[in-house]
Parts: sequence; structure tokens; C-alpha cells
Amino acid sequence: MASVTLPAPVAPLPVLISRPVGVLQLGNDLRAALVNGKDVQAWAEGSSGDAFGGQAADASRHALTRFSRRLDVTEAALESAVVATSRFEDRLARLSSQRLTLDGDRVGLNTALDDLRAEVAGASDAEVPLLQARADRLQQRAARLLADVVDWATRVADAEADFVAALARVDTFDDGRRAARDPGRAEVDGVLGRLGAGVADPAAVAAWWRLLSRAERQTVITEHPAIIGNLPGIPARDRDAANRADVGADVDELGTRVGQGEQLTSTERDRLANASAVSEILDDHRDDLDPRTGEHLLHLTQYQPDEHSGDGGVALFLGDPDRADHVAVYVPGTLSETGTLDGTLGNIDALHRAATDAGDGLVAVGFWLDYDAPSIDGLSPGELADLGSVVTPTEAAAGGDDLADYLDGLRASDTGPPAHLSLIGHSYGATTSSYAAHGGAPIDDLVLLGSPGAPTSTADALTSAEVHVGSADHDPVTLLGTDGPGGPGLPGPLGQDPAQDSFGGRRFEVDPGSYRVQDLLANHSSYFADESLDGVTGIVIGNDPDEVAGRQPGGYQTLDQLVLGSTVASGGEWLWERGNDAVDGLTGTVHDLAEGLLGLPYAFHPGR
Amino acid sequence: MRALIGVTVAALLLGALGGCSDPGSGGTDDAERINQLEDDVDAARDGVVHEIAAAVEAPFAGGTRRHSSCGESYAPRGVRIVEHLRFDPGPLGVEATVSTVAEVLEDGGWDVEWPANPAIVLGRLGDIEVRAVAGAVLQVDISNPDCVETGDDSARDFADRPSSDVDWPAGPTT
Amino acid sequence: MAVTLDVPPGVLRLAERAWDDAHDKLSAAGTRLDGIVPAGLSTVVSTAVTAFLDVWSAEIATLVRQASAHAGAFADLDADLEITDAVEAARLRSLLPYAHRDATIRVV
Repeated sequence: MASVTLPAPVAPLPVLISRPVGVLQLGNDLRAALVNGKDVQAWAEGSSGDAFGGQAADASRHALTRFSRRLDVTEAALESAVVATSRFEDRLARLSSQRLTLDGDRVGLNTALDDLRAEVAGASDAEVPLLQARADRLQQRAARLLADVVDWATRVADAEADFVAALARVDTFDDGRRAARDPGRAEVDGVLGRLGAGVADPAAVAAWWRLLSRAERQTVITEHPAIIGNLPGIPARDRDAANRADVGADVDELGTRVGQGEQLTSTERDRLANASAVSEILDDHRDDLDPRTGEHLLHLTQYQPDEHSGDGGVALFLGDPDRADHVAVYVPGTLSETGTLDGTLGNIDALHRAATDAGDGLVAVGFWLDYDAPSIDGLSPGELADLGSVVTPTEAAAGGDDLADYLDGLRASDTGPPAHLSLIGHSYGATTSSYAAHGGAPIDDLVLLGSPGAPTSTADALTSAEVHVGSADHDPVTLLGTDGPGGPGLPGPLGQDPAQDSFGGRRFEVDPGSYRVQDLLANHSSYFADESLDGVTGIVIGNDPDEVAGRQPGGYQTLDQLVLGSTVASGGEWLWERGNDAVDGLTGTVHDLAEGLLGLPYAFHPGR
Repeated sequence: MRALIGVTVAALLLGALGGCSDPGSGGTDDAERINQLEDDVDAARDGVVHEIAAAVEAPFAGGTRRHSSCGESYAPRGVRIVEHLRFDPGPLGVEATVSTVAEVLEDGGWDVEWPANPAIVLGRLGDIEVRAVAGAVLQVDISNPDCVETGDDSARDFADRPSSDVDWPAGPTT
Repeated sequence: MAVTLDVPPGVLRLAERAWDDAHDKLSAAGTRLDGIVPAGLSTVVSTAVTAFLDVWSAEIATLVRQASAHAGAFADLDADLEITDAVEAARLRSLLPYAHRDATIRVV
């Protein structure tokens, strides 16, 4: 057997003991505490002598002033810790990513060594020089890799040491006092002042944010989480940090008050319910990590707990839209609100998995629900007014404007080559998405699922983006746009049926759905499975799905025909068993809506 | 008739008939189906996923079981479990981790599917899918991608269950 | 003897509520800090985090007690705003917004 000196295999890399997600969670907790502390500080400072100049001696005797100054010491210490935590988390995420690369190199090197060892075992003496030369090259490669590993391990140790030292600089009251008096301490007013009128321009916001120091960013996040968390142009990771802090602060404060037996106002109850629902989502996904960096996969990019008559506004992503190659935003429709996100989360989760499995670049899939999606919660008069909006495009149009702003923000905070951006609307959310596209939302693809109508008669008039349409034959909602006041084929109350051939969209294959009247609702909520999911996934990663023919006059069942036909096909048992109760019970409340749908005089009178 | 259809469709669109839509079989049948699903997920975790973790030498780091319905609130259709498990990286590297996971799945009688993403492998046995994603950490999901159909009330009750932390006893439990 | 503090109607009640709010928010912040259990961190990092949290949790607890005591002082006032002595009146005055720092204290 030939004799060749081979290098030893490279041993596995050490595991990162401090993980990005552990540090992220610590940072989130510190920020949440700081938000409530800063709220108190803002009140105390505004009411104390510190708000008045030139009266220091007088003010220093004022108890509220002393309280404010003492609280400021804690605030300064927590600010320092938050900045150190943010820096540590970024370093660990980079180190985690680098470890993955180094480990890939290690596995590749060891595989090459195994291959060479096998060749050496069967080689003749004549082949030894060539094999030894290969072994020497592998030896050099191994030496470089080992040096890189040592360098990596050193950086891990440095990152930890720096973090520990940063905390140690503020771990006594005197340290905190020094931090509070530090002339280099970030001042939020000055930071915000630099943004000025640019706040309305996502590109200006993104440029402003890039120029801020880490300390300035963290100070603004904890001082104004509700602004930063919802400001188009701020990167998703920072919006997430701000919104998680805000959610945590809301749950902590309102929960504390409830725990003390205090009665909350109606607005506060809604806020607590929304904050709790979002908090639960964050907790449910705490173990879902970005496989490259080990950071949270979920980014909370919008949190508006008081909006939309208490329904709240929320948006989030699975993945980081600023770094992804393919970004998809899903807009749910009827009955969607912050407290009922189960189905919506399931939909984006299914799409994110399918698109990630495709392996065609990094993917971020999220939903946006920051408009007044028609909803009911019982049948109170107030809710009926909300419910009545379903047959008018008013909320869709208003929501479309806000949605377009949100999408502008995603474009502005994007890093690297512009992501391929898809907007996917379902039901009333499809109408809202259509309005956003019509308003100039900067998207590449628009996907309308179960759409009850679009505001233009053709896809070309709607947007310059590609328009894709998923409309199940047995989804009654998709037929609302073809059964308008003027008769079959003419626009309905929410606009034109985009599945019509004349609309000019790309209709892709979806399951037609069950032809039983009791399943019609389920047909409307089945677009994130089977062929439909395949089609949407393809669009999201930049592929064209298989097209099917659009609806032609006379070539499909109209709304009347579908309801009648499916009732008959179901043997009428559903209507017999449930229809009378259902219709009797609801006639008084939805009859006017039906009139509106059918083009009869719109006469909806909430509370009548 | 036109008005009646209008009422029905308006109600469908609004979901106002959600509580009146097909409640499914309900009762004992639903409970059995849900119990079976939970048992299947437990069996996958305690069996093949424990074997995977041992084979790739990846220590368990945490896990959550999430309960949800399949459709929207007005038409929940059925139930779905996603159990998400996270492991610290083992010594194998991404490629070898994925191929080892596939071997363990195949040895356990699971149908293995390789999506285009080389860091991911899927295994399917009956209603249950195991999806492993290798990277900076190893993440394994156990779920039922196809809805287990139940009545709407059962699905809503199931979706209301809080998420729970996953218990992970040391070593294979089968 | 009684002492009165000349402030506009409602100021004392608003002050009580403001100190109550401060108490609630600081309690919430303290609860958050107290609930932190360092996880996914090395021993040396966890130790540093714990040392940091011990100091500032305790400090927030002190501020919570102060806010509670201040709120309580206003709550304890009689409905007719009678205060028992001038020292107490001055203390309460200093807990009011600075704008009321010169509110007249009168012995009646």
C-alpha cells in the first residue's frame, strides 16, 4: 500500500453557548421594562422642576424633581444595557452565521480527506507524489480553517467579554448616575428633530435611520415604540424590537392594573385583549428561528392596538423582509381582527414553508391587517355598522392607501438587490389589495384569492404588476363581482370580478370546492392548500403557475345558480335543518345588506 | 327567491352564518379523531424524532406545540397541530445532518421527500409529516399538513387550547 | 389647628391618580425585570445579567414604594382638604407638579 501523510480530520466546531435568541429575549424584556419606566419619567420630568430652566436650587428641593432624577438613573442604566444587548445580539447572529459557513468548510474538507484516504488505499507507489501533493494542499486548507476557527472562537469570547463589561459599567447606583450624566447620552428630541418633515417619506426615514448610532436607535425605540414600530422605512428588525417592547409594556401595565382589581376602560380592555393576543403569538413562535442566524424568525412589523374600533392593527413576517429575496404580504379579509388570527397565521405559515422548501432564495412571508376588515362579534348595533361596510368598498379603499404606504416602507428598508415583492389578498382583503395596487403600491405581483371585486374593469388599468387570480368555481364570494345591479357579468358592489376572462388577469388553477351548499363557506377559505397553494407559492418565488381559462359569459354558474344548484345537490337537508333558523334569525340584520348586494336601495340602519 | 339567495350569500360573505355552517359530525367522532392525531404526533416525537436527535447528536433545546383550526374563524373545517422542536447543532454539518435524518426516517418506514432546498427533508407517515430544517440550529416540525376534519365547534375548541411546552425525556422513549 | 393648601379644585385628586399611574407602570416594569430568567446564555453572561438585574430590580422596587406612598398621602387627605400640620402640607406640595410649588399654605 502506498504511503501518504494525511492531515487529521478537523474536529467539530464548539457550539455557541450564548445564543442570539437568548440575548434577543433579554433585550426584549429590558426594552419592555424601559418603555413603562420612560412613560413615568416623561410624566415626572414634565411635571417637575426639570421642565423649567434657571431654577435648579428651587427645583432640587421639589420631591417630584428628586423622584424624576432618581428614576432617570435607572433609565440610564437600562438604556446602556439595552444598547449592549443589541450589540451583543448582532455579534452573536453574525458569529452564528459564520459558524455555519466554517462548519460547511469543515465537512467539505473532511469529506475530501475521506475521499483521498480511499484513493490512497488503492494507489500504487507511482501515484504517491501526486496524492501527497493533494494531501499537502488539504493540510494547508486544514491549517487555514483551524486558524479561522480559532479566530472565530476568539471573537465569540470577545463578544461575551465586551457584553459582560458593558453590564458591569452600570451595575451599581453610582454607575447609573454617571451614565445619566454622561454628556454623550443619546437625546431623543435631537434625534427625532433630524427627521423632521421626512417622517412622511419612507425613503427619507430609511436614510435617517441608517445614519443614527446604535444608542440613538435604541433610545428612540424605547422612548417612542408606537412610532418606530409602525413607521414605514424603519427596518423590520427594529420595528419588531419596538413593537415587542410596546406589546410587553401593555401586557405588563394593564395586567398589573387588572391584577389589582382595577376596572379598565373599554379602550383599555381592547388594548389588553389585542396585546395579549399578539403576545401569545410571539410566545407560540419563540422557538422558530432563522436557520442561518439563529435569530427569531417572526418579525412584528405593525402593532396598533387601539385602531379600527378596537379590532386593532397588526402585521408580521415569518422571515426578514429586508434581507429576503422573495417577500410576500398577505391581506386577510372578512372577519379578520387581531384576536382571530388563527387561520391567517396558518395560511402564511403554509406559504412560508412551501416557498422555503422550494430553495429559490431567502423568503419572508407576512400578513398585514391594519385596516378595518369587516367583522362581527355578536350582533350589537355597533358591530352591525362595521358589518355593513362589507358591501361597500369604503374600508377597502382607505385600507388600500395604508397598505400602499406599508409596502413603500418595505421597499425603502430593503437591503441588497430589490426583493421580488408579491401582494396577496383574500376575500375583502383582495379588494383592499386591489386598491393598494391601483394606488401605485410598488409590487411585482398581485394575487387575488376569492376576490369579491376589483375597482377597475381590467388588470392593465389596475396596476402595472402581474395580476394573478385564484377563484374557485364554487366559491360564492367570487361571484359577487359578476352579479351586480346591471345584471350577470356586470360589476358588483365591490367592483369587477377579476376572474372574468375580459379582466385580463392570469387565472391559475385552484380546487373548485365542494358543491354542497353547507360547504360554500369552506370553499371560500381553502386557498392555502393543494393546487392553490402550489400556484401561490410559485408566484411568490417568481414562477408562473399553470393558467386556466378566465370566466366567459354563460360559461360558469352565476351566484343564483350556484346557491340554488348546490342546495338542490345537497338534497336540501341543510336548508331544512339549518336554513330556516339561520335565515329567520338573520333576516332582520342582513336583509338590507342583501338588498345592497343585489342592487336594491341601500337602506342599512344600524340599531334600527 | 332572489332576495332569499341574497340573504344567504350576504350571510356567507359576512360569515354571519359561521355558527350555523356545517358543524360536521361532532361529538365522539371528533374527539376520537383529535385523540388519534395527538397520539400520532406524540408517537412521532417519542419515536422517530428522538432517533433523529440521537443520530445527528443534536441536543434538544426547546419546543412548542401549537393547536389551530384549518380554515378561517367563520369556517374552521378541522384541526391542525404543529409541534416545533429546536435542537442545538450537532457535529455533522448541514448536508450530512439532512441525509442522516432521511436515513432514520426511511428506516422507520416513513416516505421521504427531498424538496429543492438542500437544507430540508420531509418524511410522511399517514397523516403526519416530519420536516427537518438544518442550519445554525436544527429545527424539526411534526404536523398534519392535511386538515383532520372535524365539526366547527370541535375545531374552535381545539384552536382555543393554549400552546404548550414540549416534554423531552432524555433518550429514545420507544 | 388645621392647615390648608391653596390649589385649584381637582389638583390633589389628579396628583393622586398620577402617582397611582406611576406606581402601576413602575410595578409593571419591575415585574418584567423580576421575571427575566436568563436562558440561552453562557454562565459568565448569565451571572453578569443576574448581577445587573438584582441592582435595578431593587431600585425600581424602591421607586414603586415611593410612588405608592406619595399616592397614599393624597388619598389620605380628608375630603375638606384639611391637613394636620404645615410640614405635611409642604411635603404634599412638593409632590404636586412644579407649577404649584408656591401654593399658599395657610394655618386656619
